[in-house]
Amino acid sequence: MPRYVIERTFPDGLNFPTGAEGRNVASKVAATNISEGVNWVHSYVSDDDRSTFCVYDAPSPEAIRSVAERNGLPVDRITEVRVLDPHLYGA
Amino acid sequence: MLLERDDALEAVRATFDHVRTTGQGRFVVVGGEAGVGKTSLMRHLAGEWTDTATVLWGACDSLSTPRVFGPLSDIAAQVGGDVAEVLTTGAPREAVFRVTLHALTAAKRPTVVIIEDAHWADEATSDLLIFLRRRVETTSAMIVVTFRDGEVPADRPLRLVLDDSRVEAELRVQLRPLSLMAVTTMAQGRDVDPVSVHRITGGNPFFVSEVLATEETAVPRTVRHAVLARVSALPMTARSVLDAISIVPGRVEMWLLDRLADGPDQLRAVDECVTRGMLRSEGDGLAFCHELARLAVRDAVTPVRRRELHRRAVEALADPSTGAVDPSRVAHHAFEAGDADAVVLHAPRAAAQAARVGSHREAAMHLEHAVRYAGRLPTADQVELWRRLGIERATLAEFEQAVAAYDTAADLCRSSDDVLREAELLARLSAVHLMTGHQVQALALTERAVAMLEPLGETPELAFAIMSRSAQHMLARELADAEVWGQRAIEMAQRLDVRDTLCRALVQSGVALLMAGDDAGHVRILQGMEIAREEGLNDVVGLGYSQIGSGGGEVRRYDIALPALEAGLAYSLDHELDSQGLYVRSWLARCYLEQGRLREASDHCAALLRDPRLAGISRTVTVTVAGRLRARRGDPGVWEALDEGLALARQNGHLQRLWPAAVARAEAAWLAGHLESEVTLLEDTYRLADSVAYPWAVGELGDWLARAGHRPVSIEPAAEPFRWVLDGQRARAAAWWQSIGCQFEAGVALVDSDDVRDVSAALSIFDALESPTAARLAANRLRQLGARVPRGPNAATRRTPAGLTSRELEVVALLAEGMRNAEIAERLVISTKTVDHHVSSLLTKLGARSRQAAAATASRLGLVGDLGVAPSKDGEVSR
Repeated sequence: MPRYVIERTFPDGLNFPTGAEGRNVASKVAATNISEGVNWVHSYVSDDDRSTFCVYDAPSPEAIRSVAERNGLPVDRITEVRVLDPHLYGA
Repeated sequence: MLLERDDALEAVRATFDHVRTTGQGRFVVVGGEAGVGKTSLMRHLAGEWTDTATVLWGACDSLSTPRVFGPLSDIAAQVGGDVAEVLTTGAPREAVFRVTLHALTAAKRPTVVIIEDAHWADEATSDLLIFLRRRVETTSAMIVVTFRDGEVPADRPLRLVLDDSRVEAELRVQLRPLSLMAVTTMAQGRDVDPVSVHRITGGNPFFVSEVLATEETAVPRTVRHAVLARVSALPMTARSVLDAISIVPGRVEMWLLDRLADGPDQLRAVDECVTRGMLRSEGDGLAFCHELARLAVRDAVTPVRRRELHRRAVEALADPSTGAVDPSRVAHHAFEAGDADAVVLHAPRAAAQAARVGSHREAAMHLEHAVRYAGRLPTADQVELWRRLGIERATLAEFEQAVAAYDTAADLCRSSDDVLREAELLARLSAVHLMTGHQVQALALTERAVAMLEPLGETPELAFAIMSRSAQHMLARELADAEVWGQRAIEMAQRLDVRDTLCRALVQSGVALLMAGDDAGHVRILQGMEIAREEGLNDVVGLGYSQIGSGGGEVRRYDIALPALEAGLAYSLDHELDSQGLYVRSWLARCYLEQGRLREASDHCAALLRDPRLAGISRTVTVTVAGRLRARRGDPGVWEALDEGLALARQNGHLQRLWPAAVARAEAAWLAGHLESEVTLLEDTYRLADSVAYPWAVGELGDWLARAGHRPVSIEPAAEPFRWVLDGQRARAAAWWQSIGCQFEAGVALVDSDDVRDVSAALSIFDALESPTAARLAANRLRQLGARVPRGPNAATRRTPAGLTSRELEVVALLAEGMRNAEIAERLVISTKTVDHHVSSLLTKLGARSRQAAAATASRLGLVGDLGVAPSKDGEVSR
């Protein structure tokens, strides 16, 4: 399955909840994702909370957009990527 | 004692409790390797539920060709009633599905249905499971399916059931082999080394218990050795009766055992086998405690003895005095016994039974067995077997095998001067060649069939052949010829009163008229569908929807195409017309893309691309649409999709596939700045379009060629909007495109203009459609013209000040009208749960505490009311 990086912008900040509520939200998102074969690997969030870079494994860009819509998340850009890890080179 | 199964037991118990208390059904999938204890788990739980639920067991068999609706027959024997009746009367599969569903919905007590070994499921059972799974929540049943992972081929629809997971409504249990600790517990008090046992058995519970059941201290190398070691400890009579039972998959009825055994001594030995745990009693018969044990014993029986046992089984099972004869069981043993006469008698019956309920895979296998021994039959019977085999293979889309079978049948016809039959076979061969892109061959075959039949006067076979010819002309867009031959077919079919051929002729010639721009064609298709409904020809009704949708869509008649496609999708789901459903859905994606409804187009593509059954023309349409969508949105995977689309289109060879592939590639190349790379393909395809003077194809292809600087010499037949652009009337073309809802095409018409106002309009269109690639082209053009480029919308303002998604905008608009969540869900054709989610997201984004506050804030921000946001209809058909 291809890997993608999704860039998102939250003009009023992401405001991802912490603790039990955070776990709740994360599992709801994961459940919606699974139903379309999409797997959320992890995300990078900018310091001002307005931009995120989300790493996903998914069968197609359409699947990513579909779950984003259902999860109420914006999509600015989708890029297909290969993983390049310095550890693989013994660095 | 079940070790290391607490989590699994708890999960299934919880699901059962949910079903029992809420009356809402659930689907459970239990996977794991052979011998890992799936059956043990379910037996353990079934024991807990005997007072509160009706537990029904069905098993899929490991016959060389499984029984049609095998597990359902087992269940029918337990419940009787309507389910048993619908199976014995040989009703069509839709009736079987509905009756089964009804039985599970109407039952007074909660029902637990356990279907074992689904990896062996016959096609009918597989489809039944898919059917029930979609509707399980309306029943009060827990349906449990067990299977061996790794044993279901990737292209089977059942994989959808076994791999896919909708977490909310389903439980998936994966059983793992035992750990060393568990093996040690089991081996307590025995003189064996647990580490060796664990290593050899891999923790497989069945293998472990077989090993521990032997008296030996040396650990057997394989399951087979373990089982045989156990068997060798039994007296001779017991071993003989085990051999006899081993050749019958699944359950052996007592009366059958009587005929297989050598005498009363062996029958008495059965008790010892049961006591020793090798056999267990099941209903009115016996079975091995585990399939693996049965196989080990069976493989150790000498070939001569095995054939003898199979021969006895054939005799017993074919004897009507023992009960209703099940042709697929008899055929299985006949094949194993090498009994030619029995195979040739029973396999065709088994095939007919399978074909009747749509189990084409099983039907084909039976026929393969039958033709192996068919040489002894009269020619006419041989022809019939090969012909039916061809039909099954064609239905399964295994075209090479279909051609081989039809060829053999046709050769036999020639040798016996059966002209009628031979001509009919040529027509079928022709249809197969069409599916593999051999149009020239296909037409030649149809012409030959017609020529052979005409001297014999008007026959149903001739009407069918003429109808085929009309359809072939339509596929090649030779529309005048399609109408001429279509009329002939219609009139002859009416005279002969062959309604099947008549409704097909109406539909296929009707769509040709529609493509030629004549609305009488639409009327004719509807007429054909009416007759098809009266005759119960569901696939022709479905064909009607699909032709209005694809034929209409191709000539930009979205007004009739979209409703037909939506209705067609629902129809195909209701009537289990799988491949038609996929084709209709792929055209829905295409039409939504062309209408600027990107979310619907995208959602359909996502679902289609995940479906393992997506192949052939459905796949061709889908990947081409996906590629075009990605290019417009700036998403990755453009050329991967378009390259596949082109390859598939070339295999198919028809203009109707090559043309969309060529223009999609042209558009994507243009957006990426290298349109010249597609010129050769455009020119080749243009020539093809021009040879049949098909206006929409000539127009679109000619338009792209002109844009690439290779304007065709004559564009006479081009459809209007394209002709206007080629004549320099861009604004006129754009207005027309907008009037039928094709915004993107309007933008493309305007963007190369010399007039700054035109290009600005194009830029606005592309921004509104969220096509950054096209917007960039428009912005560059503005700079070329020396105009100022307005600052583009950034991520935030492109949607709304509050960052709402388009779906949330729709929801808040309806919320502001005072609708409750359930009403909003109904209006947008999504689930209430999804609406709940959107509403809570809305409240957060708008910083509102209540729905009213959210509506007020949205109104203040100008998101509702004046802007008149009109919710568009969601393209997905809800469950």
